[in-house]
Amino acid sequence: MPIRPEIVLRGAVALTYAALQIALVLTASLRADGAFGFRMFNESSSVEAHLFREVDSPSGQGTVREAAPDGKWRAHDASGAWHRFSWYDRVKSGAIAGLDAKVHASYGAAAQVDRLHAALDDLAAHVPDDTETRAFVLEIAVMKNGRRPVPVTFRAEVKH
Amino acid sequence: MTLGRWTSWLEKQGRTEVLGAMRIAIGCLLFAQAFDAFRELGQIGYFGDMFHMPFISERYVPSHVLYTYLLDARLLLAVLVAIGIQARPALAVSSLLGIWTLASDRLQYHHNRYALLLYAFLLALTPCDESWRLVGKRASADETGAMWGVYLARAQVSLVYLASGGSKLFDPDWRSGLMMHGRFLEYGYQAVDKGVPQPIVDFFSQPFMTSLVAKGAIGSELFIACALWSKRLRRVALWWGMLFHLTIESTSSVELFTWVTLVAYAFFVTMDARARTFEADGSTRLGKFLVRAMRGLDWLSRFETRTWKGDDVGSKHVVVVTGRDGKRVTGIHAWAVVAEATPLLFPMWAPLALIASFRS
Repeated sequence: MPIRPEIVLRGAVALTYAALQIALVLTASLRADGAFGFRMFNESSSVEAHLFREVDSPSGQGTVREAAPDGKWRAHDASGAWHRFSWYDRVKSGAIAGLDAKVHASYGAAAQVDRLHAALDDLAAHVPDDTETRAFVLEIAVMKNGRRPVPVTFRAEVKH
Repeated sequence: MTLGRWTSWLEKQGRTEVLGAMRIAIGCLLFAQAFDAFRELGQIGYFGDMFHMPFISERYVPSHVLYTYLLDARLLLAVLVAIGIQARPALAVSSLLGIWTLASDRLQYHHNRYALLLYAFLLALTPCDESWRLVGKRASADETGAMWGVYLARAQVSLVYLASGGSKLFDPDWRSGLMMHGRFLEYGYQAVDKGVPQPIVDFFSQPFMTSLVAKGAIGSELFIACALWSKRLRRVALWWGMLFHLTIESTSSVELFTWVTLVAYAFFVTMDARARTFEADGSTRLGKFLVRAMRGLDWLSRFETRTWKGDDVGSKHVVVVTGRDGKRVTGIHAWAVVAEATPLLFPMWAPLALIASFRS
């Protein structure tokens, strides 16, 4: 007896859906946050991140690193006017760890490091009124499942 | 699987009452999810104006205006789902819009949000609009429809547990209890905040206990993933799973995950209607009250509920329940059958069934 087209369609939808979901679960480790992989409570890791700026050295040779406590700093624009800046001007999602405090790494240490790295690049691309900062540096201490901190550093040059 | 079995699986029919009740619950959860996103839009602003991480190309990320309309649409669709107007298309569109949002900003991704959107999509493949409509025509008494979407949804629920338990099993930190120990130390305060006594949290924070709890969690997830497919073990898996999720709910912040999963458990209910009978003595106040209460609690249409039909069994008891197998039971046996088939009373099923097993 020939199979009705409606049944063929149902079978195609079911197989496609199942194949897609299984593929997403099996490839979850390829994504830093394991998205679509249902790896619940995957870690109890923490991160502690500190933001620094690289500005021109007063000696005129090279740059020096300045801390930006709590992700905040002040800098001149091209006309010489002062502006206040903050890491949180751009980074508002609660999915990203805050600065200068040890916080839980939501979705795991790798996910947080990946997010913080991307956030740093985003920050460096969005400070047009800061003519002083040459680059941002993020120093992160990664504590995977309560282990000793492992330092990770990212640097992003400001696009003036 | 042979072609014959495959096609019979795709053609299988079942009653739609359970799916209708699920549709209302999923509609409410979709509304809550969209409402949260709307509130976030008001409090924090449009995600596209700040740092975000899209899975898709930036040009496919909705603009501020479009995103606002999209949230409006998701709220409206959730209402349509709940009340049963064009519910299946509304479920599918609601799910796809939600997935588009997650794809536009992975910072908004959470397993529970994604799981809800998947269950909404799968529910759209079922005849969930045939019953429990709050407007429009009432369902006829013998409303049935194709159940292939239900089986697909069951596979999805099972896959979630398999993925979660499997990933933990292959993770040495999880197997050893190291992760669980860290979690108790870091998040024990959340359990205390939710009312769990400090000494209990302290007791479970010891390395030996966290190792045991970790192994128990892995075992539970893998057991649920497999046992859901066994007719004999299914209700045990559902009961254990419910306990497992309520424990997580009482000790952690998991957004809607507990409720999404408990609603998805209804995919495993046998898709029939009123296959059991609940009878109570209508000559007493208690009997009348129990019949009314049962009608109110029987969300999954498991019982034919009526007041007394005088007979030899009923004369000595307030309640008589007839199971799906036709066996008439009273007393604690009856309440075990009631608890087994009633969502709100289901937590009491295992203790009642255990006590009943000691009484002939």
